[in-house]
Amino acid sequence: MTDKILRAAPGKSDNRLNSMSLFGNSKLVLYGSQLRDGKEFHEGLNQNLLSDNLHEIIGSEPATDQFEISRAMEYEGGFLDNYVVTLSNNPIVRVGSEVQSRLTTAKNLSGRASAAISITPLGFFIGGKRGGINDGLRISLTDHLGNNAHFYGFRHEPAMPKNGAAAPVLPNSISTGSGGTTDIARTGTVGWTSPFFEDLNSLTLNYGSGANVIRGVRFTPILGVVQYPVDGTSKGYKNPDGFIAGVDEYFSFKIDGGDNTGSSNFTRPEAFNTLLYLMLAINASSLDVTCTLSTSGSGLGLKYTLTITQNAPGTAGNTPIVFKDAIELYSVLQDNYRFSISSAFAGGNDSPESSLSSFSRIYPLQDGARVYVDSKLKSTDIGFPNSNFGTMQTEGSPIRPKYYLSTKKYGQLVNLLEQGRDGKTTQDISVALGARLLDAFTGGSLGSPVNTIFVTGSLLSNGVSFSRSNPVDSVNKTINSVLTGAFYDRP
Amino acid sequence: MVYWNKDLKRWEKISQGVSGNAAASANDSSLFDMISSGALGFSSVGMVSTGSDHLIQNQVVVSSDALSSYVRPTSTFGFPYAGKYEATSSQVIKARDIGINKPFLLEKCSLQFDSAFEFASINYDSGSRAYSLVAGISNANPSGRTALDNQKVFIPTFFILRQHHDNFSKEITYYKGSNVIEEFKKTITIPDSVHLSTNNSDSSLSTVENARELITYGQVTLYVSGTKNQASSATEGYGTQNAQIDLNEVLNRGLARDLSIDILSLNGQTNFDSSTSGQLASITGSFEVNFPSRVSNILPIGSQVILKLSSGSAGGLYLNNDVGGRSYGSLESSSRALVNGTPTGQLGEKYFYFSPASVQHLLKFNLTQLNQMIFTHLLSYFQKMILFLVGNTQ
Repeated sequence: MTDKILRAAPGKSDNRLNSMSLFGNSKLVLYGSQLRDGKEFHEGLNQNLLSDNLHEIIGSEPATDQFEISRAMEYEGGFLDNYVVTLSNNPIVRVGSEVQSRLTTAKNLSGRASAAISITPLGFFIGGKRGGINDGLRISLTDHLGNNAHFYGFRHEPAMPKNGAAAPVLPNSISTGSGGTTDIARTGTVGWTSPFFEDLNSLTLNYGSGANVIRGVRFTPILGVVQYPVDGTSKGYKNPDGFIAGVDEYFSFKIDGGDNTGSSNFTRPEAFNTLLYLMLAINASSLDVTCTLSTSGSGLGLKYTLTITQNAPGTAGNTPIVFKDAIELYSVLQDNYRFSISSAFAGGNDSPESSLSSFSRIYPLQDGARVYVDSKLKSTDIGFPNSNFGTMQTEGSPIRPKYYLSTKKYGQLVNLLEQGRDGKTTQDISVALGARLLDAFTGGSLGSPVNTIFVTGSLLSNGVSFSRSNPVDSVNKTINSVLTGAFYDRP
Repeated sequence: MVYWNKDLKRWEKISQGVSGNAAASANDSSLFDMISSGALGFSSVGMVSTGSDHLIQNQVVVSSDALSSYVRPTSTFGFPYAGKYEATSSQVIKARDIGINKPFLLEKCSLQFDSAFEFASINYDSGSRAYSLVAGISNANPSGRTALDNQKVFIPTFFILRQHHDNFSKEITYYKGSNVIEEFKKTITIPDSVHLSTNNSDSSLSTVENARELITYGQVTLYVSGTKNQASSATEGYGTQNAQIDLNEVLNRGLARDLSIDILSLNGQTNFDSSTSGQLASITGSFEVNFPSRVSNILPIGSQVILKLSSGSAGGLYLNNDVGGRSYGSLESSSRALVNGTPTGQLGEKYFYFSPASVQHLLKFNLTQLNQMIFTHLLSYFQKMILFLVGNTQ
């Protein structure tokens, strides 16, 4: 690289440049060796070449040193990286469960954008507005994959606005009817049936007059008359959106409370159910999101919140939420209820927290399943409540081993397994069963390879019994204290 | 930068280029774009000598610390771990394919090749002065410098990378400026979507899920030890008349790398004066360069390349290496070195330019005290590298 690229670099007209042209055969020789017991090792010729035949015994290759130097990410996709996403410890139930990567799956909701819709049913708002949702609104959501879905809330029946074009451009054989002056397209069924939302794409929607007339308002509003959608034969509104046919999804969900004048409150169950029906509609859509419905506050501040979270981390999930209240879609509709809705999904991050280069996500550095045997000796249930000898000075509190990582083995699963081979520890069943049911029998201690069994009272055939007196702690231990409870023959 | 295509038996350009003018913009976005897309793995040759004027008797060669830091791996352009350095399938040679199927301790490489080296025409803007050495020539103005038209150094580098699956996000620091040095940050992530060839259309973007580490590299120093500048400095593009430096000392202190080639001894030109000798003749020959398994040092401030920057005037982009080692600086990236894979050590003197006063300081510093930085250099030349573990990777 030249340091004078601005003033001394060649131009397009130059045809003789600084160049290096290799020709012929080049050769790269790598010098080094294999390693065996930390020493240089060369695998030489293992037989005399006296004929055309070569003889090799399969499996007799010389053993050489192995090194745990692969990066954790190099295990991605392998069996070490996989874990089954399930809460069941029943092997049959686990069949077919989703398998994810330990290394790249973001932790919990890290990096995933989310948005919230909440209703405070008993709240009061400026202008005498009440907590609730106005009949005829639209909520448009986009997921991190770019899928769009639109959700229309109606009180009386599944419906959506007719597109403003002369003929509907929505897919799936929307009957055009014979009208054109009314602007609510509805399902063939008047009224809601459980589960109180409808996939409008899969239904034939009717609007117009005659046999297919729906109870929508006229295209042209009647001056001086407050008009509400689907509340009578002359009420409804026009959809000005012009969504792309065949790409977006359309759902209608039931607004479970309120009325067409905004005079009555949403009750708490009605507010909850309204968000529930919206959640069900979202779940039924192709949006790659997850919904949760929660309650917070109390009294007049009681609030129900529908939290919508993108199913994948990343800024691609920070999509806008297009919300049109009924009055925005058509000015004469009522505007007496208020609720809260995020203007966009937020919090999406392209670098979510994940275990990435470490397996410590699954294998915490603090070992919760094993405990040093000696550290529990003084606890009353072990049987040495009065002794301090060999108890690790813990007063009976368990000490758990930790995993130590070296620069040579950082993040390597085998490193953790090696350290798990510790004969000084015991399985802490209570912890394992209580906190991590699935892992009750994983990470268990191997136990000491040598067990010491003290002689207990026994009776020989000649009537002589052997026993050991209980240890008696000296009151004042000193460096000169001696054990006095030696074995002795008891006649 | 080129990679070897083992199937087509040819060298192939990778990624995008680097330009002296492309980086000029009011908001640094063009410079950022060039750093993001351009391939530049090794730094430039910075100022090699300085003095109160341009005459050789008043010139002092800069320290070994400085000279040794030239033409070293630089992190400014994300080499070698950024996605744009991805080797495609034909550019990858698996270790097992060359017989390495067990852990192999690489200690040394020997590269034997036949090559012709041609040099740019003598026109000023042809590139003929791109590799002319540069010397400081003023006590008062530390940026005052001249090109040495007849004393040149070319250092082509051969390197070996290891490519592996990875996932990381790494923030690197780079510096630019003229009078005021500004610090910038850039984040490199894997996976990434990048251009892997000089085609920069949107449709040619490739998703890269691999990172790379630098196993080792070898360098050849080709030098031209011509006369002092003969032409009048009024002639366009020529350096200050009579300017000359001690090239032998420059080579001995750090620019002589794994193999040194005296171009004039091979091309038959007994001496070289760009104002009278005409074209620098090409050379052809068989060469062998031997180099150890080596690891890169941390270079907080590296040599610079002069670009047109946001101000519209020329300024320096510093080719530093703020991570060192073989990759992006994580503990894992040093795991294949048998010893001392993580570059550490006491820093040497920082420098942005060389005034005679500062270089005198460095010279004294270097000759009378064996600084830790020198140890770091020496150690780094003798690192050993564990090569591929076939069967241990996905």
